[in-house]
Amino acid sequence: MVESNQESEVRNQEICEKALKFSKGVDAAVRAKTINHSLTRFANNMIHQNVQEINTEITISVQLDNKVAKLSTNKTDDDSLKTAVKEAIELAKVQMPIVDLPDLPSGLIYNKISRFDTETAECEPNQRAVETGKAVEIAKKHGLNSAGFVETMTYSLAYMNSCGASASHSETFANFSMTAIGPNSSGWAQSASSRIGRIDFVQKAEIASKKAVDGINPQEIPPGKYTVVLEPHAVSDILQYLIWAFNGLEAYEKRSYFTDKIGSKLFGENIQLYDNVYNQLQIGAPFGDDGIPRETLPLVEKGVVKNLAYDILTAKRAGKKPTGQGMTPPHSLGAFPSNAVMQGANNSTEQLIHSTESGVLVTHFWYIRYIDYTKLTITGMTRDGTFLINNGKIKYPIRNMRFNISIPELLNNIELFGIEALAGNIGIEAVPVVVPALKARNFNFVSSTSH
Amino acid sequence: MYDFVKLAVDCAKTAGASYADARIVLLKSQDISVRNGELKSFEQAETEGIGIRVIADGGWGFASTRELTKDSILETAHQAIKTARASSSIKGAPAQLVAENFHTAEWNAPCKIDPFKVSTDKKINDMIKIDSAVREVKGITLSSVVFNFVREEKYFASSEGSLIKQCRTKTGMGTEMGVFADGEYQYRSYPICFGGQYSLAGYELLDQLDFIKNAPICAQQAVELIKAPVCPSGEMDLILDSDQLALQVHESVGHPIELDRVLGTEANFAGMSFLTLEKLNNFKYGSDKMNIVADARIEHGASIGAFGFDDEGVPAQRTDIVKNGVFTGYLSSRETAKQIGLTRSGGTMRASGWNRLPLIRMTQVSILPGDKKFNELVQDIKDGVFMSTNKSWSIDDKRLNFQFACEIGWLIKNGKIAGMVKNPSYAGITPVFWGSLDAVCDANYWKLWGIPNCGKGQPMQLMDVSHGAAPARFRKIKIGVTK
Repeated sequence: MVESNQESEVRNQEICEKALKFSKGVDAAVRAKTINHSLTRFANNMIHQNVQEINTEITISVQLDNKVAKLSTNKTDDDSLKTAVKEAIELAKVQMPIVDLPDLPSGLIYNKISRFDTETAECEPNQRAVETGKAVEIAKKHGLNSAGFVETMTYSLAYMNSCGASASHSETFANFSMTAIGPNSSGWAQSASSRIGRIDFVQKAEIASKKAVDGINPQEIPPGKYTVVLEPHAVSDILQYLIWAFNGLEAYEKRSYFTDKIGSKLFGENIQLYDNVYNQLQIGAPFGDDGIPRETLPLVEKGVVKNLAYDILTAKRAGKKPTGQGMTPPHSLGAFPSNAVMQGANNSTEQLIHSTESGVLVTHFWYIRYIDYTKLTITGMTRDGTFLINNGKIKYPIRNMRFNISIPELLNNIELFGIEALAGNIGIEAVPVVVPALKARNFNFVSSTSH
Repeated sequence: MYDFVKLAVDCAKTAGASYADARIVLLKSQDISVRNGELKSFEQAETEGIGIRVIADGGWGFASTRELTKDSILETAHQAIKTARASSSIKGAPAQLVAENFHTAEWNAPCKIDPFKVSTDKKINDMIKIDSAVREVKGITLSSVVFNFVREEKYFASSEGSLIKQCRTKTGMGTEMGVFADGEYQYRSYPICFGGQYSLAGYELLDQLDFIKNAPICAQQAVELIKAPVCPSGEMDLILDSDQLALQVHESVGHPIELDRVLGTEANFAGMSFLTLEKLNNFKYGSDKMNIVADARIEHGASIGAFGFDDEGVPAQRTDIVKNGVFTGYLSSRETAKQIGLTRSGGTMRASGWNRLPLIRMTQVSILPGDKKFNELVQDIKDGVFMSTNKSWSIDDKRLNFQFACEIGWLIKNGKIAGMVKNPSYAGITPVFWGSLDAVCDANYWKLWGIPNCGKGQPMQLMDVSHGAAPARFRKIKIGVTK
């Protein structure tokens, strides 16, 4: 029987309480997270992998005379917790001191977000198979092959420290992705939500299939700068490489695009970007692994850079407020926005296409990597449905293209926004972002591939 | 632990599995980071659990739990069966496996100095010494040193009678040293990027890598890179250093030869492959200087892509991938080997932990050494670039169109090294690129690199792989492509 979210939160809180009790006399923070994660994977129009994981991870961070050590375990019995705490204390004693180590957070108010859905939590392998079956039948109806997955996850999280801070959260997550494959084409669609009931598997399977059918016999176009209409997932794919740079630690260490640039107008006036875990489409907990509550954080307003994300240690050093995306210190990675929201507008993607005299429609991208991190230049490929637009209509499918672009340049070249959606290859290689489709000029495609 | 894996398999069989295997993995790790003279993180983690994989009614199922108790294992085995039956509800070809003998064995990777017995004091002091040596180089603004240690103990049982225990210690050590000046950040990594060199070894890796001698040399290069000219653009000859060639092999050979990718099961994420089945033994992958093997045995090298048995209980093997430029072999599993009529699995299935399903992964996929000295490669170039250490890598979803950039380059003019360049990059189409290979350095230059972060699968898994390479020359390549 599936544990309710309340039971799970209570159990994790009990684990935290015990670990703190065993660490009596030292400053300590404990985080306990339980996950129940299932993923049904299909390819060649059948289910070929079907997995489930149940795990609890406990992270104990001990601070002693300005020295810190962190130890994680997945054993929850009393003896194991005692051993883990003892070992964390012994490890802390022999660390290098961090002169300005901040105190553990205390006296903070934590918001609650309701993101738990019983139907999603209780989703069984048979139900995931049924949804998979619907998607596969649609692909077959169109004479296509299909691949993808149906995923459901429940997690429950508790944070407590010896200074009295206590927070908990539980959440469900559902995710569906499908690639439809034709003789020399492919199409893709994805949908994610905290509720499986909000995912329209049939609609998404039809979208992916239509792209694959429309994409048959792609033509080659020459490299060059094009106006592009990027669907939300394509925007998400690029935005990941922007939001990681809003890292306060990297800016403080002077190895970031945003070093010494707070308050500068770097992007178009139509760019509004926030870190907002409370957005109704978003997923995630209202506090960070370091126990700092999350607040909505303006990152860019009217093209002006407003804030960066700060972990608790870097915040103290930089004279800033910690923003709740960090891990308990010390942590070498710092913090970056984990729930970005880019403001869109009330235009459908069809309207963006209709407004384009000549351009390229991109479904999503693949294998984006930085060329130069401090300049936010990136490269990558289009994938699974790329089309030439002519006189406001899709004219024909094109072969996938490689691009080399500057993200700041792109954000100065946006002409129109569409409607926001939750996007990102979440949990696989991306953080969840809420982004609109958009139309931008001068997108630099440098070469094409065979398909 | 043997009793638990055997119990898991027995439970699964009783519940209706036609095949079952179980893996218990006990993992302990330490991650330490020092940056600019300060300890940035010290994290230790331990995790244990069991993953049970079954075929029931022709479908695959997998379930895992951290709880190593009889009741929990029984429940998890039943969950695996339930999942398998759900899989088989969508009609398709039933899962079948090529034959494999059962094996009873214990395998231990080499390790001279147990890193978990080295004191924390010593580790941090050694890292501080490296950091100090780097920051003595005038102009350096960032020095980062990372040490990573992993101990893995794995127990495997199958319904065919295999019972295997494997123990390995993995050590990784690396530095990044950078200069931020004039709005630009240039850096060098030693001994390689991706957090350093990884090996099936213990703390003895520190002496082997000799950071105190070598890291400052790279640090000085980072300082010089700021003032160096940008790599020119054009069609030129290219020499790739051993470390960059290792990555070239990884992306444009290692991934496309994964047979699951070829057969379409990774289409939704990692992609497919241009190496369709009719190309086996029938396709010119590159020039006749191109010889590639996948060899998981310790004899090839004690790097992190080596093991005793894969996660299907198949012993480590060597497979010829490319011989004199002709494509001759895939990386296969018991199921994919059966699908294409091979008589045995190539033994390449591995999972990143107890909570993940095994997938076909690269092992030690290496380009074999040639017969040239490095200066011979240089002397025969009128106009070219020598590039070292990867900085950026991207390739399309069938592994054809690629673009890579490196940390540092040197111009070659009329047979001589002619000056440092920054931001070097190159692009190509896989078989055309490999077709332009015309010389490979000999075994004296060959190094085996351990890469700990190859990503694949849904849910995602990061896997240890290795690649051996010596510097090699390619003719008429598009260079300087990222301007």
